[in-house]
Amino acid sequence: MNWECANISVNSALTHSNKRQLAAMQKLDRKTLIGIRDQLASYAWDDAEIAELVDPKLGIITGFQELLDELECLRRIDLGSTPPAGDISAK
Amino acid sequence: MSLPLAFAPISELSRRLRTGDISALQLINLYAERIERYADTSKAFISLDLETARSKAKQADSSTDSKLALTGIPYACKDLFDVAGMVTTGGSRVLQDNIAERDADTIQAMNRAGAICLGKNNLHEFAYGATGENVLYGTAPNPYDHSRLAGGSSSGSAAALGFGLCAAALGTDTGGSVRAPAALCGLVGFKPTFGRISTAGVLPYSWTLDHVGTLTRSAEDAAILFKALLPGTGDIGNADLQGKVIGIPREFFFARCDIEILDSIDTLMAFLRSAGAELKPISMPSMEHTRTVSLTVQMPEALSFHNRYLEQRGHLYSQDFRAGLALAQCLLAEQYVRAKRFIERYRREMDAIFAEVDTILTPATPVIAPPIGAVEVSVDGISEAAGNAITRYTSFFNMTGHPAITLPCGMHSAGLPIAAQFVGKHYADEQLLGLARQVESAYDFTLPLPDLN
Repeated sequence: MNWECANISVNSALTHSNKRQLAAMQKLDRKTLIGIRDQLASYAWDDAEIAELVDPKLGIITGFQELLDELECLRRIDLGSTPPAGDISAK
Repeated sequence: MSLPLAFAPISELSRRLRTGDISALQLINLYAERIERYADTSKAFISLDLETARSKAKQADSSTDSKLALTGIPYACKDLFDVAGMVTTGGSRVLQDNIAERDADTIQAMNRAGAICLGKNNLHEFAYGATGENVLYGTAPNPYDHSRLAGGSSSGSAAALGFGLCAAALGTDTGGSVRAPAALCGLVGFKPTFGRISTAGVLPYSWTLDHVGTLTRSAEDAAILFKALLPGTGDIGNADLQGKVIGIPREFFFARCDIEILDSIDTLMAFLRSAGAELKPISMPSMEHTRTVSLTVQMPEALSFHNRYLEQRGHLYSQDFRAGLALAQCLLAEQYVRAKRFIERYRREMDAIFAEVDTILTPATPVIAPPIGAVEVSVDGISEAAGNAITRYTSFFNMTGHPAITLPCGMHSAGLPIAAQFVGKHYADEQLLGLARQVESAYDFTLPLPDLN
């Protein structure tokens, strides 16, 4: 079973609309995260912590942008009607 | 040759307690003396309650009741477990005043079986990390090389057994936090099927992935603890390896792995074949995005729990855990739900694989214990965060919820233990433990004790 979306590289299977959408995804910036903090229900993270997420310098968080790229890749995989995982029942 | 008492398995300690060769109080005092002697080196305990332990030991010694499964056996638990009257810190400044009013379900079960809790073990703050580093309580070292990690997040639990400070320990396993430190320290780490052992009374990290697990000196001891934690479980004897179908993953689980670890697993596979098992190559689900899926589930769940403390005590969290929680704040709900749907998909794919095999064998870790302070480790010229490497072969089975056990199977030329991981079918915990017991008793390998000096 192959349902991989390899390294977010856009292959020929993607539609023209998909390609346009992926190309339109911009790099995350500090202003967006400050907006989430200030305009949505959120804990009041320090500006420095927000800045670290966008532009890691301390080596505490690495690759948030890479995580978002991975999540965008996952978003493109059709899971059909698979529900979220729940409890595991005895068979 | 008999083992020093402090390193004897539960099975041996119980026998000697029953025959009156030792008393429960003598055993508590033995471990208490060692805990004090190795406190600065091992950094294994956050808190102790030796007074209560001695009181319970005296009761056990004077009781004429028939002995329970764990009567007089001293154990420790990761400082995420509530023990009534003791502080549950989670290894953090945030919960220094968090005195538990009642025992966690698992502590109650241990009490009912007659075990005696010595104290609470050090850990990676709130179980957020596999290196076991803790800025407040120090980093528990590996008993075989004190310049290296015990591994985490149940680092203090592994160190406590490794330094001979208790007979067994309870830990939690969200991505390998019981199995990996056990593997790195030459112990047996077992996590049962998801949900089979109660997590009530244990500080959560990720409800979807958290498992209570055990660290012991043998697979036999793991079976004894499992029965104590899940009363009603039948006897768990050695399983016959003849005719067992053992799946060997073709991809990922043997890739970017230390060559000496691979050699040890090869030797183990030769033994399994000789014992009549069939080794069957299998194709696992794609592992490419599994860490992303796990992270996308665990961090929002951790944030959701810790929200209750953030407003008043947010400044008390360590910088790295705060950074993880801040990241979680920026993930979208649909991304979280999608990640949980991927987990369901992994489970279904694994169900198909387990229709063909009885168990799956992998190395427990791709690396031996990394040096304390190492940010990255390198295998085959590829660098990886130390914590990610430690749990690379274990974390998938927290998502799928399968029972898994890690067993020592070799000694690296660097003087550090090597371990294998066996994974079983859902709710086949007893069969998995039986298989591990058989491998343990029939496989010709004995790990030397650590030289603590």
